[in-house]
Amino acid sequence: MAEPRADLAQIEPEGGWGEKMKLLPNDRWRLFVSALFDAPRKGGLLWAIKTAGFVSNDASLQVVASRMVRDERVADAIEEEARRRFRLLPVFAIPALERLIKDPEHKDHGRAVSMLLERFMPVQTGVTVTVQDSRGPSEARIEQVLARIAELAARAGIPLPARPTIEGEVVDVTPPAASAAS
Amino acid sequence: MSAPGLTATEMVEMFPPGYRHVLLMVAYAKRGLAAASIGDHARLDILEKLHELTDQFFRERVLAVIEPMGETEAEMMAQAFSLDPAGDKSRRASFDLLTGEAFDHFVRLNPSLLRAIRLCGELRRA
Repeated sequence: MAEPRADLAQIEPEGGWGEKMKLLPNDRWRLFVSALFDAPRKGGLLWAIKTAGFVSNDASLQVVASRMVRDERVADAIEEEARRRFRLLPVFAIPALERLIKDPEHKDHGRAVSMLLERFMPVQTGVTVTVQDSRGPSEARIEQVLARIAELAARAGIPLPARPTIEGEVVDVTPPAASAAS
Repeated sequence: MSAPGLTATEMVEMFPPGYRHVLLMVAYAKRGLAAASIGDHARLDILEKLHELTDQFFRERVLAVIEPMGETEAEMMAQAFSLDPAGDKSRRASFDLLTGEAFDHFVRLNPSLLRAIRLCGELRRA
């Protein structure tokens, strides 16, 4: 397993810890969170807790570390630290990309060039949007056309169909007061 | 579909809207075929399309009895087509009108449509 780094005590950011990191119980917890980001892939938890300054046998430290990473406060602090570190990534990513671009022998040279071109000279695509009004004609317009068709039929000597008759008695529903006033 | 004992009105009412539209289109196309200005190529194209319309219900004999539309019916068709929005290939608005309320007018103006409707029923029962 890799040896804990000696300089982790000086990892506190220039502007101080973030709000979530400050909520952790003490600096050893904060160092633990920070060390998780530098931990080796294998045995990372144990490495991080040792780096943070916790002392005990490996089995006990493993148990403590497992409990710590399940702690909600630690989870929040990890999220905060991840955001902070992500903002710093371009500082390391750009020189690495430069090295790839300058090395035609590297197996990922082609991919790097392609990625860079796509980023700065993206393929332009055009989208044509056709808006079609699928609403039907208005009732008034249909009535107008029907009337014209009926008129044409009538002019050609075709009798128009009789209007349907509504059977029934007319009932006066005018209120008594209104009847008296009139 | 038409059945023995039905009145003309009943037969028309029971005739499916899709086939009503076919009847009108055939009469309309035949009017176009009769026009002197139409070229041989267009005439052949229309004739081929007319025959493509036939099926188990709308037989060639039915196609043959339909007479071309007159001036009035053609103007009525134009009025109905004016309801279709520009670019609307479905022609839903004119379809609804032609096969609905306006269809009776066409049947009265062109009695061959009623003969075609009757013949459809007879051939179906045969």
